[in-house]
Parts: sequence; structure tokens; C-alpha cells
Amino acid sequence: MNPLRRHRLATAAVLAAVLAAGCQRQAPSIHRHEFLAFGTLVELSLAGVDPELAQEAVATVRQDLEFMHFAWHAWKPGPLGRTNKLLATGAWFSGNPSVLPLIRRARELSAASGGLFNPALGNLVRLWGFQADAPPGAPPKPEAVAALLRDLPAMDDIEIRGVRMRGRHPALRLDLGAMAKGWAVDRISENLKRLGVENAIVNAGGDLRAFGRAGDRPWRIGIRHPRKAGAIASVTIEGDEAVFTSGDYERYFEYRGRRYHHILDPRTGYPATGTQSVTVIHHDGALADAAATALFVAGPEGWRETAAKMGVRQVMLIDAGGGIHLTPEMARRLTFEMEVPPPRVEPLP
Amino acid sequence: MKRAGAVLLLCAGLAAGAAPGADPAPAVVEVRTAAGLVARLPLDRDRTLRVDGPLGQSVVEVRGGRARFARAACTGRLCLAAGWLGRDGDTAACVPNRVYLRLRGGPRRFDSMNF
Repeated sequence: MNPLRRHRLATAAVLAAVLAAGCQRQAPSIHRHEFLAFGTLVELSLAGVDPELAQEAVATVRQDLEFMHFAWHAWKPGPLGRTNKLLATGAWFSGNPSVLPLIRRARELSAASGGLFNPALGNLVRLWGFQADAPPGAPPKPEAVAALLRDLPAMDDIEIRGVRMRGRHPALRLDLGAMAKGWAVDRISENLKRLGVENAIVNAGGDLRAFGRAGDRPWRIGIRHPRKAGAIASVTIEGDEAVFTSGDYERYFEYRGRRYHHILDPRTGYPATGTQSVTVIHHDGALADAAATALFVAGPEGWRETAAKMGVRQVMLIDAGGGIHLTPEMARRLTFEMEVPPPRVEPLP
Repeated sequence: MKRAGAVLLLCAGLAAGAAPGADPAPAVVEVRTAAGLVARLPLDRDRTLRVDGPLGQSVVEVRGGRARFARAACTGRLCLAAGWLGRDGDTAACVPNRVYLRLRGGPRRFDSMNF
């Protein structure tokens, strides 16, 4: 072969390799699987896995989520349902290992939030009817809410010694819905990594944890606008992070022209006011989940103090008027995807 | 070199089209039940579809390039509250009736949506 021809062939081979690598970098192979589990629509995105591993990962995630849904459901028979019955007796009992770590973490997060995240208020949730598939026809009677508020149970009313626990308040009923999804995506992510998955997004009903990358680029997450169709902003994931949003549009009913949503303020017994949505990014999904709820309850006046106490620094709050409040750390991460009023960047105390 | 340059440009163009950030109109809405995919409806043709689930019939409506749940079999009606879906990757689910919708078509704008 003459040197010129050899040179051309070598150049073509290098070019082909560069093109292939370039195209692969821009359009990585991503396996996407959707299924109903954990009482919601789950989307699992996997990059850099072969079909066999993808299949095993999906099966594992489905099984894990089905068990978690059974174990942590506050209103159906199962470990948490039984725990609630035993807590109501006031007697000591051995905590179920599938719920005890969750309860311990809930106590810590509730204390850090100053009680704004209060999963001991299952009875308030039930009074409003948000635990049922059927929407309540009307808000509860004010005197019923007032009666519950007079002696409100808190997570401190659960005494834990080793694996033994007891309830110290007869009205205490756990509903871990405001952090269970975060705890679940954390456990699912750990299990996926143990299986050998290095790049994934676990999205459970809009809240998610993502780790690794989509080929040679980072995962890119859209954050839906609380009132309009489409994404208000986007963020690229750095390493391993959870993105959680609490919004007044997720679960609500309307009565006589007024909207009542499911995020209840423990201080008033009524749906929290002043906020449309709160988005939190943190490497700990359970913390991000609980903090999104607590900051929503804290509202535009108190969210910064609550965020500082809970140790979350990447926050976006959209207030009732559509105003956007950002921590400096969140402002550096977000790309706005639609025209928005100038955001207020507010450092934490 | 000219030919190589043209190939490089073509590849870059294809890759740019596939990259997140593009904003294409979604082409279809996929309707799934617990049994799997039951319909793939083009968004450029207005129509309604009745889908049977364990609680009864859910009704899916396609109109003006968007899709939504128009009637729910469940009592929660959260699927109705999701409203119109208009972007690639948008989803809505009637979990009690085991029916869910996803818009698909063209490159995805994001890898996943948070809400």
C-alpha cells in the first residue's frame, strides 16, 4: 500500500472514531421504563447499562417500591398501619424494622423544621380527607380543626429506646407521606448502585433522585411551572442529587370557589397559604422531601430561617403571587426556561 | 478535507437535534394500562378514547395538539387536575384506575421532569 493511501485510510479511521465518539456523547443510549408503583407513576431512566442489567434493575425497583408502599402506608394494614395502632395504646412495643429507621429520621427532620414538618398529624390529614382516593366534598368543621389544634401531637410524643417504642399521645397517628418518597428514592438508588448501575434517574411521581451521567453529559432535569404548562426552569445534576418539589397543585379540592390543597400548616390546621411551590435540591432525598414541605408551610416570610435550620441551601420558592425567591446557591444552578419576573435572590441567615 | 468537514457538520447537526434544549412539538400520546400500551394517538388528530380500568372507564381527549384525561373513573380526580399535556415527556396518571398518559415525539427536552 502506498504511503499516501495508508495515510488517508488512517485519517478516515481516526475521523470515524471521533465521529462515533462525538455522536455517542450527544445521544447516549438511555433505557426508560415507566410503571405504576408506590401509589404513583414511576419513571426509571438508566444510562450505560446492557439490556439484561436494565431488566434486572427494573424488576428490583418494582419489587422494592411495592414492598415500601405496603410497609409505609399509613392507612392500610401493614407495618406502619400496625405501628399506628400500637402507638395509640401507649404501651411499649418492638418497632418493626421496616419502619423504625424511617420513624427515627422523621423525628430528626421534624425537630430540625421546628415542627413545620410534622408527620404525627395523621389525624389532621384524615380530618381533611386527603388520605383517601375520594376528594372530600367540603373542608372540615372549624370546631373539629380547633379541637385537634388544642392538643396537637408531635414526633416528640414517640419515645424510642433501642428497638422499643411507645406513643405518649392518644391522638398521634403517623402519616409519613411528606418524606416517604424521599426515603424511598434514596433506598432505590442505593440498591441500583449495588446492582452495578452507575447512571440513573428514579422519578416517583415527579420527585426524583439522579446519579451519574447520561453518557458524557450530565442529566438534565426540568422543573414544572406550578401554574403553566411546561418547565419554568432546568438544572443539570452534579454527581448524585435529589430534586423535590411540594406544590399546591398536587392534591386539592375546590369548595365554593376556593381551592384547598393537601399541605397542611400544623400551626393553623388549614392548608398553608402564601406559596405555590417549593423546590429543594439536596443529596439526601428524605431531607429534600421533608424540607420542601416544611418550607412550603413556612411560606415566603419564614422559609429562609427554616431552610437554614434544616441544612438545605438550594431552594426555589414561588409565592402565591408568582414571585420567585431563590437562595444564591440555587440561583447559580438554575436555567430559566420561560419568561419570568426577576427572581429575588435571598441569602440564608 | 471538504468531505470530512461536511461529515463532521452533519454529525454535529444530528447531535444538536438530539440534545436536550430542542423544543419539538410532541407527536403522539401513549395510553397505557396495567396490561401495557393500549393506544398511541397522533396529536394532530382530535379524538377521544375510552379506556377500561378496574374502576371503570377513563376518557382520554386529544385536541389542538394536546391531550388530557377528560373523564375519570376514580373519585379522586387527580388525573383531571393534571390538565392538558402539551410537551414531550409530560405525563398524567389515574393511579386508582391504572391508566396513564405520556406525550412522546421528537427529541426530549429534559431527561426527567420534577413537579
